[in-house]
Amino acid sequence: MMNRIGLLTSGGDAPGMNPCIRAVVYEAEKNGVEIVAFRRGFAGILDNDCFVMEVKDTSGIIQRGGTVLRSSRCEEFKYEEAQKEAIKILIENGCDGLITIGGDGTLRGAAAIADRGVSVVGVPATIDNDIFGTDMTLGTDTALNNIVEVIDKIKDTASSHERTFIIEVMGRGSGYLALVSAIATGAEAAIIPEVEFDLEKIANRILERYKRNKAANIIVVAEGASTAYQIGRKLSRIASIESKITVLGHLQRGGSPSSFDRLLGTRLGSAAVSELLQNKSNCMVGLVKGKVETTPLDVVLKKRKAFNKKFIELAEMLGN
Amino acid sequence: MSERVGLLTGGGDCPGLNAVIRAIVRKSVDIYDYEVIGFIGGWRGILEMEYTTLNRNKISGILHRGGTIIKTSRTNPFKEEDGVKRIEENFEKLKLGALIAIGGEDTMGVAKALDERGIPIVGVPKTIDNDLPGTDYTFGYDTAINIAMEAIDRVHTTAESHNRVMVVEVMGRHTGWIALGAGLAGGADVILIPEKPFDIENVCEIIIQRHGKGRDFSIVVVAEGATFKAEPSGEEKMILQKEEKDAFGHVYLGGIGNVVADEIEKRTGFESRVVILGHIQRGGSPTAFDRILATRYGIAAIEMIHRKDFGKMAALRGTDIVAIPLSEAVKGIKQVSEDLYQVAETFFG
Repeated sequence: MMNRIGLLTSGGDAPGMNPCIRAVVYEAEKNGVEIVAFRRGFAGILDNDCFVMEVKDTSGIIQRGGTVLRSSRCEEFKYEEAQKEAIKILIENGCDGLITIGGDGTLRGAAAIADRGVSVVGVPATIDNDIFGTDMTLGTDTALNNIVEVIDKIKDTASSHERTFIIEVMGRGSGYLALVSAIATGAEAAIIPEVEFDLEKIANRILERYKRNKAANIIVVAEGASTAYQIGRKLSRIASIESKITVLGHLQRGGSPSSFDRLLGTRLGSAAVSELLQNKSNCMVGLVKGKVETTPLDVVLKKRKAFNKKFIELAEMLGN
Repeated sequence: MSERVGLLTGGGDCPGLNAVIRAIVRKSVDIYDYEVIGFIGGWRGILEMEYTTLNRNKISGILHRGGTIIKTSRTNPFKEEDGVKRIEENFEKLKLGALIAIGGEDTMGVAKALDERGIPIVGVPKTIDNDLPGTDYTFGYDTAINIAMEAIDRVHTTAESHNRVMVVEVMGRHTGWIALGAGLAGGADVILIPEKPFDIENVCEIIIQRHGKGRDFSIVVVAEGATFKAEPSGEEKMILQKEEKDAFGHVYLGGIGNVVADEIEKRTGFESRVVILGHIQRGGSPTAFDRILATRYGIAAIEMIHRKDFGKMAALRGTDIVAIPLSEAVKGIKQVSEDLYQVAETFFG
């Protein structure tokens, strides 16, 4: 019987982490299990910076973005020495289980210490939606809505002033946010790392639209494919198209989580506790075709999430 | 020769309708070279031959707008004199190749009946209530629960400051999808839904226990169609606004929130207030999720027409859009899943 479970959030913050923390604490308390919350991710374990988190500590956090447990990227944790130290500290704190909330790096950390005396279940949280084993990661929906709201606003100016705008969004290795926000806002083009882009084709499309008296254009670019400045300079050089630049940066991750992320965080948090209590370990809970399911961590980390090709076709057609 | 496709939106308006219309017109005009005409005001438009040609100019800039540019109504052709016959005649008169009906259970019911009479028709599921069977989600639901959730967030502030019980009444005639979704996401302390008739004593018990644990406010979310548990002699009774019914035989619900708030105040002594969200749940710009879902539905509907796959409705299964028979879409209503209710229960009190 598990008595205490450790909990941490790590890597980039994502809206939905707080609802997930809250659900973990509620579900644990319902089952008579204590939650030991570590601050600032894996670094917090190494510093033994923790407290027992109770339901009363979760009051009012469901509405808040970010993570009340704080987060960090812990370089040290890549080394076995740190991992062994972490297990020692977890065991000293009476934790026979650990729940990690975070993205790719966090899941790697989770896999490194799973089954070495501590059971670990991961919850996928990153706005990039690039984790295998879940249809959506925590934070993606809120980030998308943040981006869509901004592009809607920029569109008003773009159409009033008949200008071309280039909007740079997050996504180092994944164009999900760029592609889907482009479809959701009716953007003229999305430039993403997964697909080789042809700037001349985009330029011709814009020139074609100029001829039809459509001078307002929106191009969404994922940071992993290029930068808004580069695209702007090239469009100017190859086709004399002048453009305005907006780089959304960290406002994409902030703000109150959407209902989707609150529900997803709540369901995954609850499920993570249940899985640990059923002696599962070394796995991640995720949303698969509307249901919460688990996937072994080695599979999650090895496989690349398939990109929905239909979305690319859709963006291409609607951008014309 | 290029084909002509008719399009209509029926029932209550819903964020995402314009996104469906746009997607249908874009693929029709750009790819298939179809002409699209939009009937004004749902079934009424085809009955009375009121329509407009939808070209690219008409759909420009509508993706982010709530409502429907071709209007909607609750007109039921089966209740109109020679309704079905007139639809068949007008369909011929306009030389339509096919019809797309975007709507909820009533619109799909009419669509199915027309399909059985040989009219080439496809459906797109729309309702903020998310209670249409055969599809995981209807568009409009995500927007609705975000609006309701934001309202609950705001109500929290006042509840906290004034030590009050706040009762928030949300839409949901037969099912508790909105109440459960928004309630869970808003951190409600009690959620009352039509699927689970409630005992007001239990509700008060939960609130008293919660306040005994040092909390001095509570949020109760109640679906408009929620009912008190049957009295030993009586039936499960819905609270009605008025006795009249609409053309599809639906009663006008509403008012349960007031009754619940009154009862709580009377039985617990805690000051209680009610907020009835009403139609703000349907208004405003659709969320990213609904825009994408609506766009995919629109594309799927026109693709179904292109391959002559009639009598079907576009549906979301997991992450895929599929075509299901209209008969599956009108088979009763889709209630909230027991799983989801159990998750919500963890947070009661």
